[in-house]
Amino acid sequence: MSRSPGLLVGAGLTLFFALLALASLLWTPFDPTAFDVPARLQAPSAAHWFGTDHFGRDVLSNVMAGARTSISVAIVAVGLGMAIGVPFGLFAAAAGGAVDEWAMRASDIVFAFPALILAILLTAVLGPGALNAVIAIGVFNAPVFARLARGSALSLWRREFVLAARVAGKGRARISVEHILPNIGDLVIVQGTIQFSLGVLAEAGLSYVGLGAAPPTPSWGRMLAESQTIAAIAPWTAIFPGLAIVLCVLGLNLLGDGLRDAFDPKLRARR
Amino acid sequence: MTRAGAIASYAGRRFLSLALTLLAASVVIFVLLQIAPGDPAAYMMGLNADPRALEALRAELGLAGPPVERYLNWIGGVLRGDFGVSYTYRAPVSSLIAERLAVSGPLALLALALAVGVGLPLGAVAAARRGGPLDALIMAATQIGLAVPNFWFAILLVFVFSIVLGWASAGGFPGWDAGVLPALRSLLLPALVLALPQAAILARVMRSALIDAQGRQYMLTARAKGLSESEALRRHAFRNALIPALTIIGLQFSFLVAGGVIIENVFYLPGLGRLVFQAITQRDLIVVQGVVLVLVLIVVTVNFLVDIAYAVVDPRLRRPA
Amino acid sequence: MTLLRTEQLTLAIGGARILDGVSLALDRGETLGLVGESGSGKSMTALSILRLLPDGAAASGAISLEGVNLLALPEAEMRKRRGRDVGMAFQEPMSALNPVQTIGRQLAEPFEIHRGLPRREALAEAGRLIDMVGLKAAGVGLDRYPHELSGGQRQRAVLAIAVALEPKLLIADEPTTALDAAAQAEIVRLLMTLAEKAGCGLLFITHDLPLIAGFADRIAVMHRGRIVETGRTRDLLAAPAHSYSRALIAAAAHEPKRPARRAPAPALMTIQDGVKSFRKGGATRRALDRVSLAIERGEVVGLVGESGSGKSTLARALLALERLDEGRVTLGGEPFMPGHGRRMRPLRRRIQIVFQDPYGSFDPRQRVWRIVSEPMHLVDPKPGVEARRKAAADMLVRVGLGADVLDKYPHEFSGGQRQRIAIARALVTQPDIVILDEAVSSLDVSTRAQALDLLMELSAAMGLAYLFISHDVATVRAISHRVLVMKNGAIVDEGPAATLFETSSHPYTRALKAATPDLAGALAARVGASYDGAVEETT
Repeated sequence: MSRSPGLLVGAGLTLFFALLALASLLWTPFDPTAFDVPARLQAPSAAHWFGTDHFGRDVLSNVMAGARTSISVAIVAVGLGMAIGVPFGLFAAAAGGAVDEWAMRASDIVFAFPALILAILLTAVLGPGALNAVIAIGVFNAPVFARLARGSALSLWRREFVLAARVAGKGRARISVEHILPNIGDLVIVQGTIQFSLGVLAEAGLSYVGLGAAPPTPSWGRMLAESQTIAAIAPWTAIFPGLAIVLCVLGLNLLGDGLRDAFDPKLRARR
Repeated sequence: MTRAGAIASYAGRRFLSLALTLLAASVVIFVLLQIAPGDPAAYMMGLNADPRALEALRAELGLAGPPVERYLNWIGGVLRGDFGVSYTYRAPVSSLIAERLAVSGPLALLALALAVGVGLPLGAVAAARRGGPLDALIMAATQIGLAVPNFWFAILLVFVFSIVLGWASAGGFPGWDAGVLPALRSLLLPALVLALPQAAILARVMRSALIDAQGRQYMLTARAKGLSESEALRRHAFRNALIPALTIIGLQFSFLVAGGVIIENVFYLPGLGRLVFQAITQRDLIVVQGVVLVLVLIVVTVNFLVDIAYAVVDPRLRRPA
Repeated sequence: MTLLRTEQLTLAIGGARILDGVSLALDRGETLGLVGESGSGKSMTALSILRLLPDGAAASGAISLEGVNLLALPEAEMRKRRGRDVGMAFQEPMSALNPVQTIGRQLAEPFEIHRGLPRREALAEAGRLIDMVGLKAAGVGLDRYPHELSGGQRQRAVLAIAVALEPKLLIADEPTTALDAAAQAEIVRLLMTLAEKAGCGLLFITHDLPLIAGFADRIAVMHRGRIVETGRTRDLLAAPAHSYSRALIAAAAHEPKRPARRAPAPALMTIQDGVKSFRKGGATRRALDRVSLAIERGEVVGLVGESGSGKSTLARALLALERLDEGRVTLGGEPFMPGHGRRMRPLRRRIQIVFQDPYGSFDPRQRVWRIVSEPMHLVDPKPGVEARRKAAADMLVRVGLGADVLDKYPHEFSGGQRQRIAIARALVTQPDIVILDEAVSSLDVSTRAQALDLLMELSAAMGLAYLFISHDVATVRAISHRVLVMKNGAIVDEGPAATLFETSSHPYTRALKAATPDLAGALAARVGASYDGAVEETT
C-alpha cells in the first residue's frame, strides 16, 4: 500500500500549489495589486475566472500570488523551526540527565505560547509584517521538532547498535550525526509536512487579523479579511481564497499521512 | 501508598513544574515588551509626543528604575491581582481581563466540550468499523475538518445563517445579564467553529489509538476470556486509547485559545482576543502584557489538569518519578 | 471421548499457507507438548482452536471439542466456550495484561462474563484465584496493577485468568519463555498443579524441547505448518522417526566443543571491587556490589544469573561505558575507564561485544560493510573505505558468510546470519576478549548450536577470551572453563564449569541447577514412569 491514493492526491495537490506559486513569479492574468475600480465586484467570467474584488483586483491573480506568500512564509518558518529544533532535540537526548531535563523545560515554556500569541507579542513590539509571521511560526515550530527529535533519539540511544558504536569508540556527537539523525530522518520529514500545513493555516490566520504580510503583498488571509464585509454581495471573493487554503492544507496533510504510511512498514520491520 | 495519595503526590510535582513555567513565561513577556523595543512610553504615545507628557506616562507606567526592580514590581502586583492600569481605558487591567474572560472562558470550554463530545465517539466508531464505508467517510470528513481554516468557516457560517437563513444575530454578544440562554446561543456558533478542527484531530487520534490497542496482546486475552469484540473494545481498549487522546487534548488547547482570539473578531465577541487587538492598535502595552500572561496561564493550567487526568487514567504514572 | 481433535486443519492468511493439514488429539488429564521453532505455526494452531485468528485468515478442516466442531459454530456459541471450556495463557505476561486495569478486575472478568456475577462477588472469586496461584502468598493484592508485579507474578496472573472457570482445555503458549530459570520451573510446576486440579487437557506450546520433555505425556513436533511426528514423549525422544525431529533433538542435546585450555596465563582483564549504584524512585539500588573477577587470555568465563542481577551493568563496566562508583577495571594490565578519548583508544580495540538482539544491534540504515567495519574507527591511522571493506569482507568470510553480503542491509538476513555479522563486527579489530551478552539466546536451537560451534572454533584459532553472559545454565556449563554465579549485583559462587553445578553448596547455584531442564536428565527420570492414559496417535 505504499502507493496509496491519498499519497498520490496529496503529492499532486502540493505540487500543483508549488507550481502555481512559481508561475505567479513569471505571469498572472492581471497585476494582482492593480486597482480597476470600474471592473469591481464582477462575478466570475471568461476574463476574470474567479471574479474581481471591491477594488476591481483580479481574484485569480491574487490567489496565485497569495500561494507564493503562504508557501514561502511556511517554508521559511518550518525550515527555521527544524533548523533550531532538531539539533536542540538531538543535543538534549545525547547529553541526557539534568541538561536534557532543563532543555525540555525550556521547550515546555515556548510551547505554552501559542504561535498566534507569540505573533501578537512580536507585532506589539515590532509592528506587523511577513517577517514577524515567519519568526512567530518558526519559533513555535522549534519545540515541536525538538520534542520529536529528542523522543525518537532517546529510544534510539537505548538501542544496541548505538551501544555498539560506543564500543567502537565513537563519541556522542558523532553518534548523533552518524546513527541517530539518519534514523529519525523520515519522522522529521513527515512531521515537517504536517507542520508545513499548519504553517500555511497559521500564516492565513495571522494575515487575516492583520499580523501577517503587510499590504500590498497579496495574501490569502488578508483577501478573506477584506471579503468579510462584501461576502453577501460578492461571495466569490470569500470562496476562492478559502478553497485555495483548504486544498493546499489538505494536499499537505494527505502527503504527510501518505509518507508516514509509506515509511511505516520499514519502521516496523526494524523493530 | 493509596491511589488518591499517589495521585496527589504526582499532582504536587506537576504543580511545581507549572509554577516554574509560568515564572519563566512572565520573564519572557516582560523582556519582550518592556525592555527590547526601547522606550515603551515613547512607543505608546507615538512619534510626536510631548516630552512632558512622556515623562508623566513613564512615571505612571512605573518605568523608572532598573529593569529587575520594574519586573519585581509588576509580578508582585500580578500576584496580588493588580495588573496595572490601562492607558487607553483608564481602568484597572485586571477588571478589563475579568470582564472579557467571562466571554472567552466559556467559549473555550464550550468548544472543548464540543470537540471531545464529537471527536472521541466519531473516532471510536471509525475504529470499530475499521476499513468499512463509515470509517472512510469519517476519515474523509476529518481531513476536511483539519484543512478548513476556522475563520473562513466562520465567515461562511455567518454568511449562511445571517444572510441566507435570515437569522438576526450571528455575531455580537448580549452579555450574561441578558440571561444564560441567549448568551450561550451567541457562543454556540463560534464554539462550533473552534471545535471543528479539534474534533477532527481527536477523532483521528482516538481511531488510531484504538486500532493500536486492538493489536495488543491484552485484547487477545480479553477475547480468550469470552468477551465479544465490541465488549473487549469498550472494557479494555478504550481506557488505554484515552491516554494518547488526553495528550492531544492538552497540546491542542493552546491552538483552541489562539483560535478563539481570531474567532472573537469574526463574531464581534467582546473577549480577550478583541481586547488584545484593540490594545495593540492603541499601543496599550500594559493591557497586551496582562492579557498574554493570562492566556499563557490558561494554557499551562489546562495542561496541568490534563497531566492529573493522565495519572487518573494511567496507573503507571503514579509512581514517584 | 477425545477432548480435542483437530483434523486436517489448514490455515491461510492473505494467500500464505500457515498451517497445512494439522491433525492433533488430546484427552482430558493429558498433557500434549507442541514443539517447534519460531514461525512453525504453533501459535496459529492455538489461535485457530480459540477462533481468534487475525483478519483475513481462512481456516478449513475441523476442530472438535468434545465432538462439537468449533469451526462450524456461530460466533455467539464460540464466545460462550472461550474462557469457560477453553482457557488460554499467552506468552508475554507484560503485554497479555491490560496495563491500566487492576489485577483484580482482570481476574474477576471471566466470572462476570460467564457466570453473570456482580462485580463484588466476581472480585471475591478473583481473591480465591490469586490465593490459588500463589500471588496472595507473595503479597500481591487485587488492587495491584500489572507494572507493579514481577515477570513471574504476571505470568501467575495470566494463568489464573486462564484457569478461572476450570476449563476442559488449557492452552499455554510459551508461558515461560520470558522468564528466568528459577521462575520458569515454578510456573511449570504451578501449571501442572492447576491442570491436574481442573482435570483438564493441557496443550503446552514451546520451542524448548528439554523443558517439555520433563512433563509432557506426548509430544507433537511441528515444522513449517505441519505436524511431522507425534508420539509418547519417551518413545519420540528415544527413537524419533522423522528427520526433523532427529535434528531438533540432536541440536538440543548438542554440546559445543570448548576450546582447549593452555597452562594458566596472566590475567588479561580484571575488575576489582567494582561498585555501581543507580537511583530509582528515591531508593538507591546496587547494581554491582563489590564485584571482582579476572579473565585470562583464551579463557571462556561463563556468567549466569537471573535478569536484573547486574550482568549487563558488569558488561558495560568492563567495556568502560559505565563509570564505577568504586573499584577499577584493567585491561592488559592498564587501567581502563570511560572517557579519556585518545588514551583509551588502543585499549578499546582489544575488547568488543556481541549483543542478544540480532535486530536491534545494527543500524538499519547502514550497509553490512559499514556495520562490520565500524570498530575500525579505533585503528590509527584511520583506514580508508577500501581498507575497511577489505577487512569486513575477510571477517565475514571467516564467520561463514560470503564477501558478497557487503552491500546488503541487515533486514535482508535471518537471525542466525545476523548473529554472524555481529560476531564479525566484534572480531574486526582483532580483540583479545569478547563479551557475549546473551549472544545466542534469541536463536532457534539448530541455529544456536551452529553459532556456538563457530564461537568456540574462533576462540581456539584466535586465542580469544570470552565472557559468556547467559541465563541458560546448560549452555554455560557446556562451553565455559569457569563459571561465575551472580545474584543481586554480587558474585555469589564461582568454580570450574565441569564441577561447579554438581558440587557447589551455595543454595542459589543448586536452585539454578535444579531449575534447568536438560534432555538426558528428563529422559532418565521418565524411564519406568508408566503412561496409562488413552493413546490416540495421529500422524
